[in-house]
Amino acid sequence: MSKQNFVNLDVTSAYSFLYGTFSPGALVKRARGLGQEAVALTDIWNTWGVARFYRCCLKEGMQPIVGARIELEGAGWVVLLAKDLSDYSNICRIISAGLAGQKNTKRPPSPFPLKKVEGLGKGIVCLCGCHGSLLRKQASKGRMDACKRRILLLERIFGEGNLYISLQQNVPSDRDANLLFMEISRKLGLGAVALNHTAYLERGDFQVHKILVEVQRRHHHRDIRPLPNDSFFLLSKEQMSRKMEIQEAIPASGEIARMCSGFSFPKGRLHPPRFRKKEEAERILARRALKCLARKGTLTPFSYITALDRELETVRKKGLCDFFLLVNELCLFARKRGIRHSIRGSAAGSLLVHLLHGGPDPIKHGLLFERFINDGRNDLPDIDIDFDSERRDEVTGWLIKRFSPAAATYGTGYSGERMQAALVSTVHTMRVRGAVRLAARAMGYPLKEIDRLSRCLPWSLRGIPLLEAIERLPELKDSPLRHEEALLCVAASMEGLPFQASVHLGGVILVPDHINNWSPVFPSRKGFPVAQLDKDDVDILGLLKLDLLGLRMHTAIKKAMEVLTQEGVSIDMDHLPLDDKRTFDLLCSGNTLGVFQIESSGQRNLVGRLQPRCFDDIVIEISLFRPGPVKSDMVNRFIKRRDGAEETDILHECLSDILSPTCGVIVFQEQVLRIVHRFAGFSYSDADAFRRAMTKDRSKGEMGRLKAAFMERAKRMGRDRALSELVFERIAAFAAYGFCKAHAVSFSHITWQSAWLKAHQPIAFYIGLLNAGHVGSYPPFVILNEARRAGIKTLPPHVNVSGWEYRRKGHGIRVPLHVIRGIGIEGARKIVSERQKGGRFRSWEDFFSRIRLSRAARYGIIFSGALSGLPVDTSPYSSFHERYAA
Amino acid sequence: MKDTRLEKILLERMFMEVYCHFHPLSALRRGLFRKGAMPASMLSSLPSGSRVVVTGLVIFFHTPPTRSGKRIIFATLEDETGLFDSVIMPNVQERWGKVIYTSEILTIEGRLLKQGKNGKSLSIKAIRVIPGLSGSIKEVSYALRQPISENP
Repeated sequence: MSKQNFVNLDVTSAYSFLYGTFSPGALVKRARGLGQEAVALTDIWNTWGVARFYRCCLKEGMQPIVGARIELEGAGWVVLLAKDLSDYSNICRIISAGLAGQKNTKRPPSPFPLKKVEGLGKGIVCLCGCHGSLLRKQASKGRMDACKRRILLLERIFGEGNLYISLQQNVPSDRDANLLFMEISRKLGLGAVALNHTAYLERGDFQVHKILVEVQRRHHHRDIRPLPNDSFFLLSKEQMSRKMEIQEAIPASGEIARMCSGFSFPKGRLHPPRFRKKEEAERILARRALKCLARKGTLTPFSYITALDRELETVRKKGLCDFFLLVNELCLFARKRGIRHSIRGSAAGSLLVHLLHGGPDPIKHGLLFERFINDGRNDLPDIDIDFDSERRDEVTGWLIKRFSPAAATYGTGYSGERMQAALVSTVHTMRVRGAVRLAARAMGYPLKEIDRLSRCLPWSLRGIPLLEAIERLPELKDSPLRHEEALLCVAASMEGLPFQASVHLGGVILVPDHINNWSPVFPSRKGFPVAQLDKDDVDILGLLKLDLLGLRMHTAIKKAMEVLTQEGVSIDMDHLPLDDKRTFDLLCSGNTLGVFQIESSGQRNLVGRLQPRCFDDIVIEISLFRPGPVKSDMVNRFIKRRDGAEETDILHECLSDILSPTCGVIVFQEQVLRIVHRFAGFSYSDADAFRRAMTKDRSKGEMGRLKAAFMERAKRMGRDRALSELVFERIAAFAAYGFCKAHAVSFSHITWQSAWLKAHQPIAFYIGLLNAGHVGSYPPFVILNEARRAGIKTLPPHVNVSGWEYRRKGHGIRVPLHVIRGIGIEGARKIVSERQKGGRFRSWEDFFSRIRLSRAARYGIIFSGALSGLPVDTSPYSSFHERYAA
Repeated sequence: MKDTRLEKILLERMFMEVYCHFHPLSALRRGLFRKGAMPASMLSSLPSGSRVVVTGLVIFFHTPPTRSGKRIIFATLEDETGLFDSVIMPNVQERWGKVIYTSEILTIEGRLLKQGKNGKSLSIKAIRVIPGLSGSIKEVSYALRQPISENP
C-alpha cells in the first residue's frame, strides 16, 4: 500500500441492522472503485459480515481490516481493529461478554465496563473519539482534562502505539473537538487519524439510512437518532483531503491499515474436536460396527463384510473415526430418550452409518458409499440427522453441554473455560412486502393505508426488482403503490438488506479450540450460545457444522403412535412391510394430503400419474419432483417409457442393470457414478469428482475438458467412439438434475410410514398431523376438512371435554380449545388445568368466574359454541354480553 | 340471516381457526349449482378437455420456475368434496390478477386436464375467473342471490 493512501476505518454495513445501508460485497467494490487498497468493516457490536467481507476482499485483491464498533463505559463509542487473528479473538471475547449481560437481545448492549476490557484489549488497535462518542462530546465542550484522563486510561488498556484519536469533520462542533484532540495527541504523543464514520456508500443513500433508523425507532422502540446529515459516506482520498482541515491526520489511516495487515483466517477445512486418541477411536468404531452387523441377522452375507471393511478403511484413512463416534453418541442419546430420528442426505448410502445410526440398508437399496465419502474429497462429510422437532432441543442441549460445559455461564466465557460448540445463526433479510410495509410505517403512513398499499404485493418477488415488478406483475396493475414513488424507491433500496438475526434451525458448529477464536457468541432465548456466523460463513471459515434438523413429520408420527398406544395398539413403525396393498392403493389414488413429501399439488398430481406399485417407485417419484427434472422434461419421458408409450433406450448392455430400473432415464447421482465407473473405467472417487465438476461448472470449456477425459478413458476400455459420445451426451444432459438416491431412499421410508398410517389408522394419522404443529404445506383447517371427508366426525371444542390438543373421541376427533381465536395454547392449558382441579364447569357464570379471559377470548368461547349445553344464568344473549363480554 | 348453516360457518370463520361442522362451500352449494359451478368430486366422471366451472376455497398459490420463464400460478383450491388444482396462465393473470390474489373463494371457468394412465391426475386450466362468484364467503353468499353478468 502506498504510504499516502487513505483508508476508511470506521465503516458500518447493513449487518449493523437497520443502520448501515450496504452489503460487505458492495462496500469492497465501492472501495476498489475509489482506488483504495484496504477497507475496514466495523459493525456495531457484531461481526456478522466479517466472513463474507473477508471473502469479497480476497476476491477483489483488497486488504480486509476487521473489527467492531462498541461502546465503552466512560469513553463512549470506539472502533476496535484486529492486527492479527489473536486480536480478532479478543474482539470476539469482548463482544461476547458485552452481549452476554444483555437482558433484551433486541436492544444494543449497554456500555461495556472498561475494567472488563483489561487483559483482552492489549494489542487491539483502538480508535477513540469517534462520531457520537462521549469523548467527542466532552472535547467539543472544551473539557481537556476529562478527555485526557480517559484517553490515558484507554492507552493503558490497549497498549502503547495502539490507541489513536479520531478526527472527524461532519458537524460544526467537530472543528473545536478536532483542535482539542490534536492538542491532546501532541501532548501525550498519541497518533491522530482522520476518519469518516460510514453508514452509506453514497451521499444519496442518506434517506435510506434515515428510514432504517426510523424503522428501529418504530418497530423495535429503540431510542436512537439517525446521523445528523448526509456526509457519512465512503470517502476517497481526495474527498477526505478536501474535507479534513488537519491534513497530517490523513496518512495515519494507511499506517493503521499496514498494522492490521497480519490478519487472515486459517485456510483449509479443519477437523472437529478430538476426544480420543486416534488408535483408540479406530478400535472402538470397528468394534461397534461389527457388533451392530452381528446383531443384524442370522447369517451375514459376505457383501456386507467386504463393504464394511472397505468403509472402515476409508474412514480410518481420512481420520474421521472420532467424527463417526460423535454422531453415534448423538444417535444413542436420542435412541435412549426415545426421540425419533433419521439420517438424511448422502450419508444414508453408508453401511457404517446404517449400522451405527440406523436408516435404510444401503446394500438392499443399491446405494453407494462413494457418493458420501471417497478418497478424492478433501472436505469433511456432512451427516445430517432429522429429529422429532418437538424434542430436538434435548439433543442440541446435550451436544452443546458436551463441548461447551461453560455454556450456562458463558457471560464470563473469555475466562478460559472450554467452549467448542455453539449454534449457528441465521440472518433474515428484508423481503419486498416487509420492506414496503416497514418503509411505509417509518414514513408515517397510517396502518390502514399500509394495508391498502401492500395488498396484492407478494412476500417475495423471486429476484424481480420491485420497480420492475410493479410494471410487470398483473396483480399490481391497479395497485395504489404505483403512485407512491418515494416509498417505492426507499423500499427497493431496503429489499434484501439484513433485518435481524436469529438462531439457525439446526446447525451446531464444533471448533477445535475456543469458539471465540472464530466468532462472538450471544445467548439464545433457550440459553444456548449462538455464534455470529451463518451457514455460509461456516463454510467460508471451513468449520465443522452438524445439522440437527427438526422434522415435524417425526413429531406427527410420534403423536399418532401416542394415540394408538392409548388404545392398546402397538405398531413397529421402523419395520413396516414395504408391500402393503392398502398403502399403495392410497398412493395411487393421489389422496396423499399429509403424506410426507408427496402432499403438494404437484406431487399429488405426479403420484397419480406414476401409480407407484413398489417401494422403488416412491424413491423415483421423490427424486423426479425437483425443478431440474421437471424443467428438463425427465418426468414425462420417464412416465411415457414406464407406460410403454416410448421405447426404453439402455445404450449398452453393460449399463442394463444400472438404467433399467429407471427406464433408461438417469434419475440418480449414483447412476452417474456407476455409469462412468463401468463404461469408462473411472474409479468411484474420480467418477464423483467428474459428477461434481459437471454439476458445478457447465461452461463449454469445462464440459469439453470432461468430455475429452471421458472419451479417453472409454477408448482405453475398448468402447466404440460413437457410443461413447452418446453415453457422454446422456450423462451431460441429466447429471446436473440427478438426485441423491441415498437421500431419496431415506425420505421414502418416512413417506411410507406416513402413508401406511393414513391408510390403516386414519384417525391417529390426522390427530398426529394436527397436534404436531405446522406439518407440510396445509393449514389445520384443510387437514380437518379432509378428515371429515374421510368419514371421521369432527367435534367442536367444548370447555368440559376438549383438551389443549386434538383428541380421539370414538370414531371422531375432538377439536381442542386453542383453535378458538384469542385463547391460544396457554389459555387452553389454563382452562384444562382449572377443569382438572375444580371439576367440570357447571354454567356460563361458573366458567367465567373461574377463568379470566380477554374480551376477544370471551367472545370466542361464547360464539364458538364451547359453552353449549351449559345453563346461561342470565337468559337473554344481549344482557349476557353486557355482563361478561363487554 | 336466515341460513343457519351459513351463519354457523361465518361464526366459525370469525371465532375459530378451523371449520368444525361443515365446509364453507357446502353452505353455498345450492346457489353455486344454480350458477353452473360443479363440485370437485364430479370432475373425475367428465372427459378430459371438458369445459367446467368450479368454485373453491383458496388454500395456496405456487409459482415455481418454469422452462419458458413465464409466471404460471398453480392454485390449490378446496371445496366440500376435496382438493383440486388449477393452472392459471399469464393471460388470465393479466386480466384477473387482483381478483385471484385477493379472493378467499375463487370461481374459475376452465378446461379439465386429465393425465396419467387412469386419468387419476386432474387439474383445471383456467380460461377465466368469475369475479362475481369470487371474494369473501360473505360476498359470494350475497352474490349467489344476484344475477351474474356473462362477461364480467
